[in-house]
Amino acid sequence: MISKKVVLTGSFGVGKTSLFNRFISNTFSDKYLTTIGVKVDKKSMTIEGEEISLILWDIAGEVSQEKVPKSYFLGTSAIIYIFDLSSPTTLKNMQADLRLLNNLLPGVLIRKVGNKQDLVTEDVIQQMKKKANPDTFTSAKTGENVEELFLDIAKFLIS
Amino acid sequence: MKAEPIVPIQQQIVLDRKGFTIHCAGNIFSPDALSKAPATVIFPFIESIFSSLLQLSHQDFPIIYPFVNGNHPLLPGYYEFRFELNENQQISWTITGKDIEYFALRT
Repeated sequence: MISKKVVLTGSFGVGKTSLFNRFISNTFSDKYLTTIGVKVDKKSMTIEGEEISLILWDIAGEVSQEKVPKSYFLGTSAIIYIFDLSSPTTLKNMQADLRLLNNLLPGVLIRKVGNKQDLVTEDVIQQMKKKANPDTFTSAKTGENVEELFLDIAKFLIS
Repeated sequence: MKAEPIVPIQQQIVLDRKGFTIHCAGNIFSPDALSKAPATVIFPFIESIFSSLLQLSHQDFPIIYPFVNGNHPLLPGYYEFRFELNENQQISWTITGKDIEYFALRT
C-alpha cells in the first residue's frame, strides 16, 4: 500500500482542524480551539483498485511565521493551503506563503482551498475565484467538497 | 520530609533502517507493543517521515517536534518527539510526555 503525507496549512482560524476532522472522522465542532503543535492521523482510500493512505498533518501557526519548524514539512507529498472565504485577511499572506512552500518543497502538489463556503454568498465565491483562484471551495461544517478534495489529491499522488 | 523527584514520562526507542525496534525502554508503553511490526506500521507519524529521516545526514539532527498529538492508543496525549541519528546510522527516537505543558498553554 502507498502512503503519502499531506500537510494542512494556512492562517489562524481558517478551518484546518475542521477539515482534518471532517475527512478523518466525519465530525465537526463549532468550538474553536487553536492547534498547538501538530495533530497527525491517517485514512485509507481505494482508487481504481489501488489502496492509498493519506497521512494528514494539521500544523499549528502560519507558514510565514518562523514558529513553524521546517521539519514539519519533511517527507511531504502534498500541501493543502486553506483560506477562509468569509475572512479576506486570511488571503493576505497566501502568495508569500506559497512562494516559501514552493522553495522549500519544489515539485510538491499544492492545492489552494477556500473553506467556510457555508458562510458566504455566491457573489463572494465568484469574487474569490477571481482574487485567489482556488482549486476548490469547501465547507468543513457541511462536508461539501471535502471528500472530493482528498480524493483528487489521492488520485494525483497515485498516478 | 524530602520531596520525591519527578520522574519524566519518557520512552527511548532505537529503530533500525527498516523501522524495526532494536531497543525500547521507558514508562509510556511496554516494549512488547513494538515487537511484532516495524514502527512505520504502528505509528502513522513515523510512517510519514521515516524514509525522509533516513536520507538526512548527522548535521541535520536532532529533529524535534515539540507537541505531537498522534491520536494513537499507545500515545494518548501530547508528546515531544526527538529524532537523532546514532553512530550505527540508526534512528534514535525519544518520546517525552507533554500533557502538563500542553494544558498549561491551553489555559
